[in-house]
Amino acid sequence: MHDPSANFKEELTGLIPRLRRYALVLLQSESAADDLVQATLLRAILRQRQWQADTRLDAWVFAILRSIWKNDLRAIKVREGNGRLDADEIPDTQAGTGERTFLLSQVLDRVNDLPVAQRESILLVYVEGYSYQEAADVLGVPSGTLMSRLARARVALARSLSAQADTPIRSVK
Amino acid sequence: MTSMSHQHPQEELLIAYADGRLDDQQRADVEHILAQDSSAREFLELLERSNLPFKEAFDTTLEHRVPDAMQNAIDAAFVARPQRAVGRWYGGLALTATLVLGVVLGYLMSDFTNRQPSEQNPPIWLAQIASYHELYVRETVDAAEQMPREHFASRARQVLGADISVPNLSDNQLEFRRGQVLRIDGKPLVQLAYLPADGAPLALCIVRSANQDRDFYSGVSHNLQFVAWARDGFNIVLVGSLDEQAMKAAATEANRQLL
Repeated sequence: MHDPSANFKEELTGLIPRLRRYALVLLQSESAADDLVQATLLRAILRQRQWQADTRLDAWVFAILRSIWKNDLRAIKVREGNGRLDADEIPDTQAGTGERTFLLSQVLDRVNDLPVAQRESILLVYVEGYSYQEAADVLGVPSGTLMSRLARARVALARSLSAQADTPIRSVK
Repeated sequence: MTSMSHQHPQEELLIAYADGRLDDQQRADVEHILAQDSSAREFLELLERSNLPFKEAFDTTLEHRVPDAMQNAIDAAFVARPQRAVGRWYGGLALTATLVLGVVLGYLMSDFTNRQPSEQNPPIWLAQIASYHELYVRETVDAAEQMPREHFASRARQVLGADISVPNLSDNQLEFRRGQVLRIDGKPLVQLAYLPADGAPLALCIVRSANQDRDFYSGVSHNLQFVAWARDGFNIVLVGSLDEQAMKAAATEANRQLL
């Protein structure tokens, strides 16, 4: 029996790792992030009919996640600015050991030190690979605003790197 | 010593240039700017310094195993679609309501698996959808085709590895409608949905457990009445909106027939 929602369910399930990653960037807490993702999945299922099948599902669901985070979460304490993960909330990374791993964990730490608006700009453009306009659409802001956040983020990162003169990090594309 | 300017009037262009996202004409324009403007060159230097392996770093944080609770939530929401859909769309809220029943029960069962759910901080998803519960749960369960008790009993036996029966609770004015298999803590959970004469459905849930036998224990959780007990290697809970006495009577009868 043909079930037209089967693809939607599969695709939605496939997005869960990236949704959890995004929620973790926003909330810096695993338990809070999973709550947010759960709420997002529900709302996406409720609104399935509003999604047009020829558009990107991931962008649509990310926008829902953001909207719930922005508008509906009053019980969750959002850490702004120097938000750092609690020691017992740090998720295990898939990275191993070695110099490359150290570099990558430094990158994570420095991005997680940024204000949340800058963190998510970095995530959408450089990790999720959206164009500037696509990222701005997910955020619901003009592309100029998105670019400005990227600029602030890149400057802050560059400064934090040059401040640590004894740990040179080679830039890699 | 160069001063590090933290802004530049053409920073949007410079970022796009550093990211390799400009067409040939735009790149030529930027290179012209760079040739003339030292502050643009300084800004570009900042950008190059912050051109980090973001994707590679954040890919290490991807967790590919989906938590059971999330998988349950999705499964339950999709299973809830009415079979006879012609002209009757109960709307997404009906899905939500069935989902509430499935997921709240999972949350409740965690009380019996020695985890520490926080009553003070209910999960956001629960708080968000709890308000839909009263209105729509009945329609959802009513819309589904009634499943014969024996059909589901054989599946339940297979899933739980025990000779259980699906209780006939018609003497308690409860009509069996449907069974589902969900998962909690990696274990299968059998959920049997019953419909009273009016009002919200009840659910009888059974999951394997290492707990010792335990007598009936009742209370309220998230505005739902529950009666719970443990026997013969199972945790069992009846959840619904009947008054405490009716719930206990139904639980007693269910326990009599179950194993």
